[in-house]
Order: sequence, then C-alpha cells, then structure tokens
Amino acid sequence: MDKLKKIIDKGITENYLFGDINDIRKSLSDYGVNLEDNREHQNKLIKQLKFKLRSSINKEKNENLLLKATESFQDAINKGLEKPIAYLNNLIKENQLVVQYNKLDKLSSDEIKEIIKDQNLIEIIELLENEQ
Amino acid sequence: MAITSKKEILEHLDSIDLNELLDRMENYVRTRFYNKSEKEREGFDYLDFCYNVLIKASTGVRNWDKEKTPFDKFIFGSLRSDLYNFFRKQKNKKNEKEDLQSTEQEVYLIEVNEFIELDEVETEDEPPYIDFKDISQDALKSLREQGADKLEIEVFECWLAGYYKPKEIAELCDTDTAEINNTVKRLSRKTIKLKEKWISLKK
Repeated sequence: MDKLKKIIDKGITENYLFGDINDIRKSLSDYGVNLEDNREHQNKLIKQLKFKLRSSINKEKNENLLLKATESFQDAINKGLEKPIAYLNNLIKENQLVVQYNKLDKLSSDEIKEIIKDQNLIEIIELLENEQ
Repeated sequence: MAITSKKEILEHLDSIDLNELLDRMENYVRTRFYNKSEKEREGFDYLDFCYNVLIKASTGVRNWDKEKTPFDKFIFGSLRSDLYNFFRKQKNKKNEKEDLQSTEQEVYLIEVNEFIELDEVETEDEPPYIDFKDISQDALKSLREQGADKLEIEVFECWLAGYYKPKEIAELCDTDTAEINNTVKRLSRKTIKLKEKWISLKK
C-alpha cells in the first residue's frame, strides 16, 4: 500500500510542479484569482523574502566576524601582544569601562564582544592578523 | 546531509521565476481546500501561506539539501508538510471543542508538534503476500466504482506505469496538458478503498 501511496503522491505533486504554467494560471483564474493583483502581491512578498534573507546573511556574517575578532583578541591577550592590548585598553577607556574591566586577562569572550561589537571588525581583524 | 547556505539559497532564488513557483504552490493549496467549509477557509490567505513556506525553507527553519533534492521539489515537500500540520491542527481544534462540549469540567493540554514530516507519519506496511498488481487492480476498481471517467483511469494507469510528467501523460493519452490538469484535479478528489480502508488520493 505504501508503494501505491508514493505513486499517487508523485503523480499529483508532479502535476502541480511540472504542469504547463498556462494551465496552472488558468486553474487559478477558475478559482477566482485575479492574476494581475496576485502578481503585484507576490512581487511585494518576493521583495520581502529576499530582504529577510539578505539581512539574515549579513547578521550571520557579522556574528562570524565578531567571533573571529574576539578569539584573536583573546589570543593576543594570552600572548601579551602590545598593540592589540593597547587598542583594547583604548576601547575600554573610550567606553568608560575602566572599573568594570580593569584586568584584561579576566575578560570573558562575551565581554570582549560587548567592547568591540560596534567597531569596524574587518579593521580589527586586519590589525590582529598583522600583529600575529 | 549537505545543508545549503543562505547565500546559496539567495543565489538560487535570484535565478528562478518565483512568481511561477508561487502560482504553482497556490494552485496546489487551493486544490487541497476544495472540500473545506466556508468556515474553515475563513481568514485563510493562500498566498501568505505559500510565502511562509518559502520563508521557512529559505531561512533555515527547514534545511534544503541541494545535492539530494531540487529546490522546487523541496519546496513542494515543505508545502505538503505544512498543509498536513495545518489541517491536523484544525482537526485537533475541532476535537478539542467537541471534547469541551461533552466534558466541560475536564481540561486537556495538547502539545502540537509544529513540524512533522509526512514521512514520519507511521503507515502500515502491506503484508508481503499481497501482490502490487492486486493492489493496483483494487485501486482501479475502486476508482471505477466512484464513477471515474476514461481519462481519469488512463492517467492513473500512467502513474502506475511510471509516467508522471503532465506533458508525457498528455501525449500518451492523446490529449492536451490542460485536460490532464483538470483530470488530476478530479482524481485528487476521489478516494480509493484498499484493504477495507478508504484512502484519500490528495493527501
């Protein structure tokens, strides 16, 4: 019975998926769909879909950069590299976080992320790569 | 599983006719609603439903394995799964209402799983001694008993013989694709009786 179910499923699905598009649109029209209005609505949704996808890609990209910069900073702190440490200290001062983060080696990755999140992450990564 | 990245999905979306895909999806959804009451259709937006399927399929709620399935088939699989869940929820709501009416003092907490794939739904395997030929013949007999016309039977026979593309079915049945489309619509509204169980073709 499973085999027959699969055959029927395939037959029905392929009809909707690979049927002539003019037949499909005629069918929609028969259901009372105004194809022109529908197209306009579709275009808005397509624009929204791509926008959402793009912003999700950018968010992920930024999160990856933030993670990479954070890891590099932690590495630089552990190695005691002068320039990156000075850069981070400067950011801490600028953000008036001296009391909170007075010991760099005690900073957690979340704390480093908080300090650098609004900076130019690509520039930071380049700086750290040059130093290491 | 080789999960496709969002960037690849976006590139793919840019390369296909999304209006056409949405038209195909909406046509399918509307067909699935043909026997639903006005009350059940109330407030249901066919296009928005399809859009939400696309969103879920594109933003990682569902994962597309591009090496395994073409995008449009993956989308149709997602669409069918979401429809299955939608109708199941409707049925649960209806049952809950009926239960409340009969036992007003009892309170039930029903957990509804959001995403159940059709494949996950348990089905009984046919006993090995039942020949597929017999099953096919029973299905055809069942269709005839419900008044299926010549073309409906021919389309069904094409499926049994492994032909699925509407264009090739139209050629084999010596008719046009519009006629095949209408025939499949009629067929999908029928049920077949197998092993004393009625099975709806459209599910």
